[in-house]
Amino acid sequence: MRRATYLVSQALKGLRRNLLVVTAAVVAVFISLTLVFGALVLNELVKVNTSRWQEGVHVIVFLKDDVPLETQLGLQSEIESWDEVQETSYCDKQCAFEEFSQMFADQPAILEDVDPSILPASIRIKLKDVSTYKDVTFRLIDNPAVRKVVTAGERFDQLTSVTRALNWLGIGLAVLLGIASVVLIANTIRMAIYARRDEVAVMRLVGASNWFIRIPFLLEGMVQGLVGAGLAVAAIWLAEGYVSSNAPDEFLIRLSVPDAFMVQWSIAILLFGALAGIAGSAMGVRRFLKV
Amino acid sequence: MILLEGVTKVYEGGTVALRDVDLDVKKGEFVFLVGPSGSGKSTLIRLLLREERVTRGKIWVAGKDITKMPGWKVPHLRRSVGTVFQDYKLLPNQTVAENVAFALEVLGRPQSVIQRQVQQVLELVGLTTKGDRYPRQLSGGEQQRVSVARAFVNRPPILLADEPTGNLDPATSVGIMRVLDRINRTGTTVLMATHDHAIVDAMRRRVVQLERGKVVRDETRGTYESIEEL
Repeated sequence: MRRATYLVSQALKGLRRNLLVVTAAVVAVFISLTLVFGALVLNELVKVNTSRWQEGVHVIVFLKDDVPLETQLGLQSEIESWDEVQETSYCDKQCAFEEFSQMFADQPAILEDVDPSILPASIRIKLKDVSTYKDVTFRLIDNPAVRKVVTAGERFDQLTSVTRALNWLGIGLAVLLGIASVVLIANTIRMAIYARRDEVAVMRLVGASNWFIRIPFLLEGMVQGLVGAGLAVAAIWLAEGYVSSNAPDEFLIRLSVPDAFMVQWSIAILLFGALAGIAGSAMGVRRFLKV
Repeated sequence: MILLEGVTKVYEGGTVALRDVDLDVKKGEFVFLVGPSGSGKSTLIRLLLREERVTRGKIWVAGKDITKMPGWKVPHLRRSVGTVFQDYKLLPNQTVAENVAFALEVLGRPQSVIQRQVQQVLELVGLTTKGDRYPRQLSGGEQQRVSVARAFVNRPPILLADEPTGNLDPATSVGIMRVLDRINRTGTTVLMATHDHAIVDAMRRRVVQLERGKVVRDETRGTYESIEEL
């Protein structure tokens, strides 16, 4: 216990005495982890927005006028039972006319010319997974009750592939920056230890065990990593909070990520900072401990 | 206490520092290791501390074969051997008392014991009033006393000194030698490498002379130069 307090006090002393190098290490961790966290948040934003754009109706099946209502409703419940389908809704001629009226509310001339009976009834389908739209369309297209099938399929395909590319880019960027930050920390801490090699030499001279020499450096590295990571987390929280509270409510893309995401990744970034600090110190100190 | 059998040390690059050296130092002895620069004195001291490893031969320090000792036990070896160097090797940003206490912190002694032992050893080397000074505020002789105090504070059975008076004027050197003599009288084995003729001649202790890595003379109450040469 007494030894533990001694080791901790040595670590604190080391941090105080080497303020310049310590600051350099903390800034290095701060910058690289801010970039890592930033990349992760952007990645999440892309995901959030993609899934938002994919909400709503994916496939609309327009029905022939001469098909009896039972057949139409039968078709709807059949579609509803398919694995790919999440939910369906039925919109009869009256409902179609209401929608039409809404769409052209400011052009009464058009409305006057349109007879509600010429607008077709339709079944609207929401898919579980948008990418299955082709199968569903293909199955419906030859049905005798169906007049036409409409999807935004190609858009979905484009959106999905863009999202996937952005995801990989974000993950790749985060990984690269993560590696860079470990190397940066290791280097900075090695510099700090190099500046104190005389001290290490004296410790060895008086018979300090390798762990006794190592632990204060590892603690120092951990503190540096934690402080840097803490600053990075704070910076990203502030930025995310600022952007999401200042974005207009009805903006094309959403600029906030879920709180759970922020909390989870903040913890992960803090842990990563601490571990990177410890690993960096261990690499830095190893060279000076060879007997 | 210290036993070397057929010790040879060849450095990388082929420099032969020691050739087939035999040496037996008994408990409580005071031994001067003399010889010109490059004769192998410092190499011998580094071998005793396991800072270097022998090329051939065996070395026992305090009853242990240190040529076979695994690396993780080396710190224990160094705790039983106090060391003093020409350049003091003090930590500049720690006070005198902290520098001395350092050797005990490493062993995890309780603070009360550390304080008492540090006071005792500072008394022994005559620096009682300077415990809270920093090394740069002391003279060379005083700094070397701090270094001796640190080497002796945990009462090791062996004290190694490599040119401890090398940077000091003759009067100051005498002061350091008094301290080493006092330490020797407590039963500590002292091995001191030196060039200092005056000191060796004044003390009349055992003298081991190295010449190009070989022991060429070993006298119980010797002088720096062998009598025959004079």
